Amino acid sequence: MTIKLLIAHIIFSEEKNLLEIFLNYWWVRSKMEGENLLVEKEKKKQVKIHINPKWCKGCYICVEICPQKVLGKANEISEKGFQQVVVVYPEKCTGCLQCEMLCPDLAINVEIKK
Amino acid sequence: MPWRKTKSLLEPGWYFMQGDEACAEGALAAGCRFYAGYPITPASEIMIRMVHRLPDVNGVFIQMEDEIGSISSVIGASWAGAKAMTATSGPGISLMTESIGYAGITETPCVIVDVQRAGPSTGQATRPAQGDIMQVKWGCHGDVEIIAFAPWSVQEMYDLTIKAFNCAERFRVPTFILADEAVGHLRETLLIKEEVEIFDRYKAPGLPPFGTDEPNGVPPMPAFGEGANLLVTGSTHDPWGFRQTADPQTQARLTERLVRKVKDFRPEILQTEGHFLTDAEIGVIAYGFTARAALAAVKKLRQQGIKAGLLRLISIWPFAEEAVAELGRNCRVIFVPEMNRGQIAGEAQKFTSTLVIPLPKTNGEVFEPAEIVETIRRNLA
Amino acid sequence: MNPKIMEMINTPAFPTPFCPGCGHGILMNAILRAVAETEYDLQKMLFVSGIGCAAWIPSPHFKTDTLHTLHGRAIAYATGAKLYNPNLKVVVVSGDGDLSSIGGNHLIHGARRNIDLTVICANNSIYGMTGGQVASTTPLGSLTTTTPQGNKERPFDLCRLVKAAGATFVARQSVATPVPLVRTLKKALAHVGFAFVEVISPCPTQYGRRNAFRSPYELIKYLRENSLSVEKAQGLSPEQLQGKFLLGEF
Repeated sequence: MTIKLLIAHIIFSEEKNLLEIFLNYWWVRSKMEGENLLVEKEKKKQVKIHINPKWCKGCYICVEICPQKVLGKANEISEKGFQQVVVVYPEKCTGCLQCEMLCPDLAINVEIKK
Repeated sequence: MPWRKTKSLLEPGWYFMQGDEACAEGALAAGCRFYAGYPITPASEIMIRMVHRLPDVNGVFIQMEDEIGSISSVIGASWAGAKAMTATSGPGISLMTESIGYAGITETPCVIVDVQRAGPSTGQATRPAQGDIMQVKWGCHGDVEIIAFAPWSVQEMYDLTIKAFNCAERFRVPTFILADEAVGHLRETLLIKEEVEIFDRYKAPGLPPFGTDEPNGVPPMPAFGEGANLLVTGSTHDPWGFRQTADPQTQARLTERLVRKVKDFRPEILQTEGHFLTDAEIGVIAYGFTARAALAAVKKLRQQGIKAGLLRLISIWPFAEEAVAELGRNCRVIFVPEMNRGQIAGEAQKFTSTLVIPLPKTNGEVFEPAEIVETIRRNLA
Repeated sequence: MNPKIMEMINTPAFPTPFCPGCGHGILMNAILRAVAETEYDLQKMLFVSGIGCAAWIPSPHFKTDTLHTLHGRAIAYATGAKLYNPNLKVVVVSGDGDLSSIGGNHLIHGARRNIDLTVICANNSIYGMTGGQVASTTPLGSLTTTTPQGNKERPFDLCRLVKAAGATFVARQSVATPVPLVRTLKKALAHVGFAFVEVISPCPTQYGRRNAFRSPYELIKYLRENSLSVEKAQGLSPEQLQGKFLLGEF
């Protein structure tokens, strides 16, 4: 992606000064990185989040702590008397494992496939 | 049954030793390889003997920061596989009482020597007494059927300590030697035989360590590190050690078995000695150092034409109910001289309708035969 | 999740009796991960605990030898087992009240003797199991059932206490930052000698509710916002350090 970007700059740039072409390219690239547009699809981790409803007690530490807000509360109250934790945005998960590590009940298993 | 004969540690023959020292030697002969203690008069000599002798047998010694630490590490070591012991006196037993209950419910074999001294509380540290009889049995809350022996000589300090270890291993209970300062500090001859008979705790990998199918069984006892995934806990538990803190059935089964596993096997534990009992009309019950004076008194009374007989209790707990009942059937009165305010006298009365008269002595001194003779005669008149 | 972990626990004992959001549950998670990431065979370890919620971390959840003893006495029991069988890897897991109040004597002597034990103190600054009474580690001013007007007694600094008593590895971590926590636990396990790790492990039910923390997450957030490393704390004044949790090795 970055090589294609550089070649595009060289071909379509009006400036013929290599230094200025490069500086332009670099500026555009950093803007794109900032908006996460340069993430290679192959490099993204494949994660699957398993929540054990028998062991989960609904403390919601995982829901609040997740930096990507992947987890949430189910709409209905379960027979245990609270809203079960459910995976709402699995595609946003980066595999940071904060939820798994902070679960007091070993109820979360984040499976990371490389 | 895992009984075995082994060579005595000391060369067989006659020795001249202090009671406390003989107790330590008895422990070592029985296989004791862990001692934890705290200094207290009049039991410190046992600890001193142990610190010198345990290295000879690759044993472990530690002086802990207090009596609670001592009994705690004894129990920990027992679960690591050791035959373990501690020795103390009345105030130390008071401190250890919670752990004695713990050893009871977890069925941890261990031997606790109580060299009794005049109490209550600090009392008279260097004076003998027999005031801890009830404490060792009933001190911890709840019902624990402990075993206790009362030696009356240096020889018995050696022999009964060996028996105490065997009983502890056989029944998985805390076992006591109820000595007193008099027999603890006494120096006498001691005969060491060639061999010692020892019982090792029963092992059965795969069977539950805290329950048996029989209502009065003793479960096998694994040690830490044997892969048994032991769940030792002082909470009420099921046969595998899982806590069951709300189930009535588990509580009933456990508490009943803890008592029955000892009580139902009393013939293996009880030890009494009768002197002049065949035609006795006046009964005397005595134990520990006091029994020496009681025996002399009984002989004196016989010389004076009074048909006295002595029932010497060697095992104190479980109590020799049948022997006392038998004595009561033959005698018209029973006297119990003891260095407390009537602890065994009260217990004896429970098992016979014959009048039991306590002869308490709590001035920090041992009984003289003459005073027992005189008090009995005065009461008979 | 490390696949070893499911084999290290007694699954019939789950779900645990811990309250939702209990810090000790997070600590249990961390201890299992720490052991799974080391060479130690859980089967050759012995976990000793006293009485209290923290003492229930190993017993009955860990599938190995566990010794659940009396209140305050874990270190004494562990000393006996370790001295008799030095091949056992003995770890004590117990609470702050258990280890430093009723068990204070055994704690300082264990440290003095430098017995080869790893002691993990789950510090929730309160007596949780019995309903929320003040402990020797409760902060000044906190509300507990036995300090309804606010705690007037200064708390222990457990790490300073144990270090002064002679422990050769002393560290403090918090369950809010599980990565450094596991790292420190692994170091403590590897240490030969008395290793003491104080783990700030909050109690949402007894401490949190009474002291205006409305959810387990609020306690975790509070810990994260008020912790700083020992290195960063150098050179700061006592006023600046007031109410802060100093994490790291001492």
